[in-house]
Amino acid sequence: MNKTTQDIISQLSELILGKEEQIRLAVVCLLCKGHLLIEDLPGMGKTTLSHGLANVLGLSYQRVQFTSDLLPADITGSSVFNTSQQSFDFHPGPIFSQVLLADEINRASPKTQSALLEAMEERQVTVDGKTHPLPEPFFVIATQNPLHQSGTHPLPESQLDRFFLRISLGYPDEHAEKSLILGNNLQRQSLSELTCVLDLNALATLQQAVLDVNLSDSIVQYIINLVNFTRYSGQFSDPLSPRASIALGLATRAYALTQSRDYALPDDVQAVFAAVAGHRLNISANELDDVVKGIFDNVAVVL
Amino acid sequence: MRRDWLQSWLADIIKRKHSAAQITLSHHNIYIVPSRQGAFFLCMVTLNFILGSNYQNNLILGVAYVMLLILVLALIYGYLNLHGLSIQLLDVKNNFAEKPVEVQIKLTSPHTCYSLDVASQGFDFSDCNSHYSQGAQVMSLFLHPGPRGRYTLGRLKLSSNYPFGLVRVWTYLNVDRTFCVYPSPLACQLTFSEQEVTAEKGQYVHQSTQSHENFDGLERFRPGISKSRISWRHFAKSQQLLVKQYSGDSFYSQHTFDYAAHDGPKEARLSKLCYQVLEADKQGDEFALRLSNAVQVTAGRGDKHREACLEALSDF
Amino acid sequence: MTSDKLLGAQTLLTTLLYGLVSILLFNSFGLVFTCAMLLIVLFKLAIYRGLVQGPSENLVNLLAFTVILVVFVAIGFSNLVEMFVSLLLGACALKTIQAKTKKQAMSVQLLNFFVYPCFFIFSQNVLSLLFVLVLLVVNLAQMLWIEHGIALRSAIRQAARHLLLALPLAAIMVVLLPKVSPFWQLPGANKTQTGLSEDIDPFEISELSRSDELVFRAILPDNTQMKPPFYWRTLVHDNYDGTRWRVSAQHDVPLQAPFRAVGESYTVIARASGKTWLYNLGQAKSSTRGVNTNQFGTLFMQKRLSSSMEYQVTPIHTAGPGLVNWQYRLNTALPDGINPLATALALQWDASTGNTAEFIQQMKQYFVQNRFHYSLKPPTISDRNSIDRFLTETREGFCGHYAASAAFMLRAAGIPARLVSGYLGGEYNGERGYYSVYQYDAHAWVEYYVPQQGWYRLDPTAWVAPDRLSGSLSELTALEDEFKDNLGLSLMSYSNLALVNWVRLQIEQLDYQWTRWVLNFDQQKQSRLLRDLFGQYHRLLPALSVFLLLIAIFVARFWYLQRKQVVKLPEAVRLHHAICQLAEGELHKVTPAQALLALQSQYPNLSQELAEFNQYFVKSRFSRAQLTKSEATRMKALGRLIIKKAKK
Repeated sequence: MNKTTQDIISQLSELILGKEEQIRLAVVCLLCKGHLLIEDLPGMGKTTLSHGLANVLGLSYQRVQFTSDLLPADITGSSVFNTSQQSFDFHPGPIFSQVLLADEINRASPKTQSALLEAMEERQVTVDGKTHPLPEPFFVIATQNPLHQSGTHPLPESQLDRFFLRISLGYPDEHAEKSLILGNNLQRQSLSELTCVLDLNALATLQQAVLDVNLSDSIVQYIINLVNFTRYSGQFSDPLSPRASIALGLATRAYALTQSRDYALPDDVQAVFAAVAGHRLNISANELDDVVKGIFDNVAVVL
Repeated sequence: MRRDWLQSWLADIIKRKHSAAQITLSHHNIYIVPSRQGAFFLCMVTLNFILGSNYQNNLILGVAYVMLLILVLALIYGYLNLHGLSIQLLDVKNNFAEKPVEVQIKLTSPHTCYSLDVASQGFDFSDCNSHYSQGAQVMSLFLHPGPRGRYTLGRLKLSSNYPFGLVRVWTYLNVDRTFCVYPSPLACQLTFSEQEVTAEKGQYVHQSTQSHENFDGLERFRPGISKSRISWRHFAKSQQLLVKQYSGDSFYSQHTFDYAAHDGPKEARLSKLCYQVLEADKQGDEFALRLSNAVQVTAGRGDKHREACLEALSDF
Repeated sequence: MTSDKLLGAQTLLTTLLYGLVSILLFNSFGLVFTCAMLLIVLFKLAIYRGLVQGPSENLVNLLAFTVILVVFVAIGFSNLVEMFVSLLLGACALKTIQAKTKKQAMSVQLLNFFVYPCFFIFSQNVLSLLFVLVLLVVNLAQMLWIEHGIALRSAIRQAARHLLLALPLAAIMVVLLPKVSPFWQLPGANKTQTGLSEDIDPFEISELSRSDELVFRAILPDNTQMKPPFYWRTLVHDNYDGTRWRVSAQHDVPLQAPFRAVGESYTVIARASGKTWLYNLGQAKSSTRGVNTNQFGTLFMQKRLSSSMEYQVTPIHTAGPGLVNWQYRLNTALPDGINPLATALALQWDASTGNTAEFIQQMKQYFVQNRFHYSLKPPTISDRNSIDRFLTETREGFCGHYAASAAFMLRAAGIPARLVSGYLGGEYNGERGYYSVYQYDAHAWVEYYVPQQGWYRLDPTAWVAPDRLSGSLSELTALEDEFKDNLGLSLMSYSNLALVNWVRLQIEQLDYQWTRWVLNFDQQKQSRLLRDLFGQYHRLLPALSVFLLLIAIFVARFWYLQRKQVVKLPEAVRLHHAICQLAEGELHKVTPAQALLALQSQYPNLSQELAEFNQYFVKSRFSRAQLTKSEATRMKALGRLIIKKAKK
């Protein structure tokens, strides 16, 4: 079982060089049945990662490029009048797939964004009063450009925590970049060459295994202390909610699982904290490292 | 004279010891004496002692001693009840006049803490007899400070009469925290004085009209909204002034609220200004506040800006 | 529960306890007051259940007035202590009805600390102590309940913990702290009358009421000088009016004549009797304060014996001037014209004998030959010539009959004679070496005067029932059935069952120790004990030691409680902290993995050990599996090894 997660991560690492940690977090997000938000500048490999992830998992995959003129119906689907049967037929949109890549989500209008975020939360789509359940598993990978880019609409703050994790890939290191340059044209090919290592049953088993990871009392206390720090230190205008605490606990377990452990360590908490808390605290990706370090310095690890 | 000196000396000590945003209680900042009931209890001890001595009744005498020891134990338990408790003032939330001001205090206790009363020495409020179990808790207190203005929170007194109500254990939290009581809003005409569009701001208006992407609907015209958004087509049809609303970028108008524009007594004028500020903020408009030549708040928008305006109104 | 209802429940408990107290003190307060208290309890209960409205101010005042009236009428000023305590109880009970606020309820609870100990004025045995302690625990718990809203059950647990800690300390204080002399005389609680009475008229009594109530205990020295029969002299009756023998008017007058001590002292522990007289063998004096000797050589006190008391007795011999004229007349005085038969009999014997001894011999023969017999249920004789009828017709009776008849005949013959009442015998407790004398040991006998020699004892009952002399009445087998009939239902009446008797003796022994060492631990005993404990420093040291002891105990308690508040870290964490301190920075605040890296960079030569330790530490703290025993030992060893090596 641990081998499968290792396998996913190593395969994707060959695809996106030098980003093992981010890939691991993406897998964590998947194991926790959460949705992933990738925030980065264009050309950092966001799309490659999400596409690769879908391939490796062997899941049905749809990609939607969000633009300012994209309407909610373009995602959810719409009812079309069928002249032969004299009735409305529902034509499902791209959201009816197991993995949905919502590219550059913040280019779309708030209305469209809301439609997507709502579907993510409820795992169903309601069109013309009829409810259509979304497939299982349903995994949204959204990418967004940093907010200061022109022509972007920020995601509504209150709905940001529909995303379980937010990661950013960042620039590759020199060594990785060198390899990229040399093997650049190989990359697209290898995306299709990725072997599917997981079927639906195996994924369900893995997701179940996350809950079996031991979260000792001290880890739970550490999580509580971290969350409380954001609430009571007065440094944060949007402190972490109880939902964030739950997410932190779950992500910690999943992270421990990807490390082939059946118990969580404080290091696991620290590893997932930035990804879980960053967007919920409303901190932009480039400030995040400093803020998180400040939190860790202030909150002692509970042993 | 001597009494005054003593009191100021005591106040000084308290100020020095207890002035911090957060204090953890230990032997040097917990005060403890038998309470009024404790004194009565002591009288009972004396009565029993006299009774036991006179009747040469060792049992009554024993009861007198037991009671004395219980009083001493009560002192110890009373001290330990507050010992290790950590108090931190989190926030004082400003509010409008005649509405309660919320004071948030965080208590962290390593053990269960019985019957903690929190009282402010400057304002009339208290929270009585609550138990706090182990761990961190945030408690909210509501004080009613009085008319508009800026106040200093002053000294908070935390006390407990645990156990048996025989002792009084207390400590102070002295925080240099001020809070504002805003004027209570008084409904009035929104006398928007439309700002002369300066070069830069004109650009802003211009830009926003350009960037609309989704036509969202029509809305009734309110004074202050840019005339460029009026749907003249509708006006021609129905003589109704309607404004085009766009999603995506919304339109903001800009106002300046001037103290001189209102008449009446000072408080009423401030209340009206307060109402205007709140209304403008609700509509998401950009606004400036001008109280006098010296006191002005430059135009802005958002929560921080609203706070700044309201505080200026409180201080004026 | 609303706060009003809760307050009602809190005060109801107090009212119920008052009801219980007044029922237990029924003997002292009487029926009327107890009923009044129970009515108050019922009233309170009705208010609590919502059947009745809470009383108005006026109604409470009216009730208070009624209670005061009840107390004055039913108890009265003659029983000051009872009156005082019942007033207090009544006032507190009314206060619980009236209490509307927390503060009022608390003031009742505080007052209870005075009300409850008053129970000890009336009863001081072990059970009373337990009862009052329970009351105090409940009272403290109620204070926690009212003041802090702690649920009653856990409040009782807390209160009991406080009291249990204070109890032994208080006992030490009672023992060691110097005792204060009574500031002023307080009236004692009256005892219901049993036992001896001041007037003796045996012929009116058909059935001698006997109880197995303890009168006193005596610890006699272990020598041959004092041996049975023990005649415990108590009252001397020398005033005869034809029907009654009244107690001497001289009884409360201290002895003026010179005397000398003869023989060894002994100790008597008397139970509260409500009377002034005490008990002693022969003639005696006492070194105990407040105990005097009168001219008859019996002991008495200035105030009534309201609680049990221990006193020392030394036998004495008075060398008085003999019987002066008025005394002679008093002790031979007889009313005219009564009991002609007995008078004739006495005069006949007087004529036929030369001295008093022979006269008595004649009298004894008369009783023995005419088959008089001893009975606890003699027929009553209500006749002016009661002695005549006793001598000729009934011929059965108890000690009073024989003593009164003998004294009458002695006086008729001109021999000074008087009646003495007291106790005969006593039950010997072999284990502790003391005698217990009960009410059923009450006895009456005669004393007659021989010129130039003094007073002699004569027990005419012994002629009829010689067994009576050898021990307590309880041991008299001949009268067993009759005796037990009279006792009614008590442990004594089942004393032929071995187990019951054993239990009875155990309780009796406990009571002896309790009375001796707790109730009668007085200044004298204290100073003796302190002298034994502290030698020559016995004046200062005890108080000082109590002071120091209290300080030590409280500091220890304080320290213990404070220590308990600090959460104790598991051993693995403590070891980890110790290792973290080897390196710079606050390594115990970072994750173990980060700490390991930092330590390894500082101590490269120890990196192997550090890694291994970290592995065990992580397993013990975060993994679901526990460390095995060998792993735990290995971890400890590694930790110590690392610290040792790093410090080099």
